[in-house]
Amino acid sequence: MKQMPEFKIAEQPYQSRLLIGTAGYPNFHVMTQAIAASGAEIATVSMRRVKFTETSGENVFALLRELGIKILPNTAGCFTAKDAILTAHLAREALETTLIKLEVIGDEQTQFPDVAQLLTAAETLVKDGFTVLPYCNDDPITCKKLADIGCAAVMPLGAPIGSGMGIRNPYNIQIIRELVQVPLIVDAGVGTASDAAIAMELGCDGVLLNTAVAKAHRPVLMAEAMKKAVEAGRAAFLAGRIPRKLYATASSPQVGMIA
Amino acid sequence: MKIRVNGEDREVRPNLNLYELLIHLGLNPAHPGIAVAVDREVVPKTEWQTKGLRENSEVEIIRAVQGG
Repeated sequence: MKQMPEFKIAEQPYQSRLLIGTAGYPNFHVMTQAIAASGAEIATVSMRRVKFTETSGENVFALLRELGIKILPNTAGCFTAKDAILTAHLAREALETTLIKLEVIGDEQTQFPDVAQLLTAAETLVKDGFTVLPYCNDDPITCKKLADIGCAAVMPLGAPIGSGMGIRNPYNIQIIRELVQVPLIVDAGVGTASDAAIAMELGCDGVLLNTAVAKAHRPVLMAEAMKKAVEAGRAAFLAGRIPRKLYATASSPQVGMIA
Repeated sequence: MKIRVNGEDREVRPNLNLYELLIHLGLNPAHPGIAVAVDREVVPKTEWQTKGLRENSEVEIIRAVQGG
C-alpha cells in the first residue's frame, strides 16, 4: 500500500494508521508480540504514581523505547482540566515527548469525556507547546472546536471505552470528517476488525484501540487482523464505494442470452 | 519534618532536597521515565538537587504504566 498518501501527526509521517494501547494484555510478552503484529508505530501509556513497595522491574517506557515505538502518554483517570494539565506536564518531563492523548473523563461508568473541561485543558496544553490528541465525543461541534484550538488531531469515540460496540454513529463520524482538516482518529469502541475497517471507510485517518486486541482470545492474531482491517478500510475509502441501492442491477451482460 | 509523598504522609529529615528524597525512597534518580511535581509544579530533573522541600510539601512521583 505504498502508493497511499502519508499519515502525519504534527508533521511526523507514519506508515501505520493503527495506534495501539498497552493495557490489559495477559503479559508483557504477549503485549510485545501484539504490538509487533499490529504494525503500530505509536502506543499509549498511562501516568501513575510510583509504588515504593514495587519490586518488579517491568518498565513499559523502556520496553517501548527498545522496540522503537513512539510513546503517546494519556491523561486517563483525570476528571478535571487541572489534573489533566499537570499529568500532561509530568508525562512530558518523564517520557521526553510533547505528544499527549488528552482525556478528561466526566463520568466513571460511561467514561464519556467532560467536554467543558476537555476544551479548557486542550487550550492550555496547546499554548504550553504540546501536540494534543484529544479523546472526545463523536460530536462534530466539539471536534471542530478542538481543531480550532490547535489540537494536532481529533479522536472521537466510536463507542464507550472498552465496550467493543463498534462505530455507533457513523453519520457523525462522516460529518466530523467533513468539518475538520486535522487527522481524524477513532479512539475507543472498536470490538473487532470490521469495526476498524468501517472507521477507515468513513474517511478516518487512523484508529486507536486497545481492549479489542488485549482481551481477544488470541491477542496477537487479533492485532494482525486489525492491521489488515485498517489497511483494507483505508484502501476502500480511497477507492470509493458504490452507492447503496434498494434494487438489483445485474452485473452480467443483459443481451445475448439463450431463449 | 512531615511531607506528603504520593498521597501518604512521611517523616523526613529537615531541609531534604528532592534528589535526596528519591534516594531515601529507594528510587534511582538516574533511572529514566519518572517525573516529579512538588506542590503541583513539575520540577525538571536538572533541578532535583537544588529543589529543597519544606514542611507539608506535597510531592508526586509518577512513571509510565500500561495504558490505553
